[in-house]
Amino acid sequence: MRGAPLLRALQVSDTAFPTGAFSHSMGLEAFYEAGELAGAEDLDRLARLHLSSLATSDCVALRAAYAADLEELFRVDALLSATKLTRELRAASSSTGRRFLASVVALGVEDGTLLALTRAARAGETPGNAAVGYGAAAPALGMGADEAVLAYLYASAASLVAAGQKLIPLGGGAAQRILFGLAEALLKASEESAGLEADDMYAFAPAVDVRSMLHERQRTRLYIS
Amino acid sequence: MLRREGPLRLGVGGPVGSGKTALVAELCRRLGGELELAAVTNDIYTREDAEFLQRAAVLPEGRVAAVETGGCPHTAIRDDVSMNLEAVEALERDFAPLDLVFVESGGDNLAASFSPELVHASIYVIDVAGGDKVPRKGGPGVTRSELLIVNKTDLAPLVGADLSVMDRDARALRGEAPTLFASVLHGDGMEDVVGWVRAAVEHREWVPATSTARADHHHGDGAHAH
Repeated sequence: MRGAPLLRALQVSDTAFPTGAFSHSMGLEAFYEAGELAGAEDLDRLARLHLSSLATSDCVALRAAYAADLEELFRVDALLSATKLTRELRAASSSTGRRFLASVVALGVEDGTLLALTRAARAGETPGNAAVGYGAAAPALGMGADEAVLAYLYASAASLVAAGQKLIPLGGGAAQRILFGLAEALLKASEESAGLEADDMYAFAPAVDVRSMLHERQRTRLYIS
Repeated sequence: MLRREGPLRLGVGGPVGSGKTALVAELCRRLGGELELAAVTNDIYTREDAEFLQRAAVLPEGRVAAVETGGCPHTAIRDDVSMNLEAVEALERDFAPLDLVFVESGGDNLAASFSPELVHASIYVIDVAGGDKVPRKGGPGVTRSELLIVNKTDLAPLVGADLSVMDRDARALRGEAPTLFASVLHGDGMEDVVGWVRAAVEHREWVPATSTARADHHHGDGAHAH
């Protein structure tokens, strides 16, 4: 069936696909609180910062998880968690990842490795990071690794922009312009990730880490992270 | 779909200020001696409701979890219940075996309803001060909840609300499903509410609201036994 992988990618990266991502701002809410997220330009800058960090961590993990066996999935999952310095960013990635896996399994997708990863994540035996879940689910859904990375990046960017849109607030047109303008950054992040091995993963966005830590003690919050 | 095993997951929804948190607190006080309880709250902006329950000390330490909903309280209980499921499952794991887990929604409008993948049954709380026309307006909270509670009946004379009108309109929309009148703060009518919750926990059966009855309630089995 030609075109089927595209349809699968559209479905799992849709904001309606149940992962709970809409409850997460990945630190944006703390930037807002600090007055550093006041308009469209700020959101664009922070989204790019976030994407550059995903390029060398989540996307690398996704590629390493693609068609990997269970042992390798656990190893990559642990390595990816180690790149996430703050409690909220780790929890955001694993809670949305666990739900992503559960939602894929609920589709009726039959894949032994995917089921085993889903069960292990649910039992707390492995973090179940979202990117690792995408990588494990992609072959079962007929998606190629590149498609899966782009779908993951798009879903991440769309959910980040949606969070920023509500926080600032921006109109729907302005938010979609930002997302549209991020296309090149998404492609670049995907390309960059192809040049790294799982053992080379890193994330370097200290501003995000600091804000994410401050978010834990923020009094007024719409978002879990 | 939810399985029959495990604790009853009971949704508590309703507009802002109708008394959802007060109801959960009162039910915990009255049922805490006989049932193992836990609660998830979906505050809109802060952890006010979770902290209220913690301060009221109606539940043992750790049994109240707060879930922020990204400004979308209805999405979090209806369309994408992921983060609520995470919280409910964590409570069920950490405090097993539980009998009953409350999932209190953020204060929302009349269009909100609970996903059958999140709760087995739900209570919808409105109050007389919101106007006696609310039941007539319908909406899934009024028509589809397994129990409708009209709260703050003591205020009815002060706000010109006619309880008989609310009762008549609720009956018309809810078929045989129960509507109970209560003043949660003063305890009036709470025995009946407690009785309904106790029966729901013990028997997993309730009368569906017939106007929009869920398909899986048609065969006399109140639980979602999939």
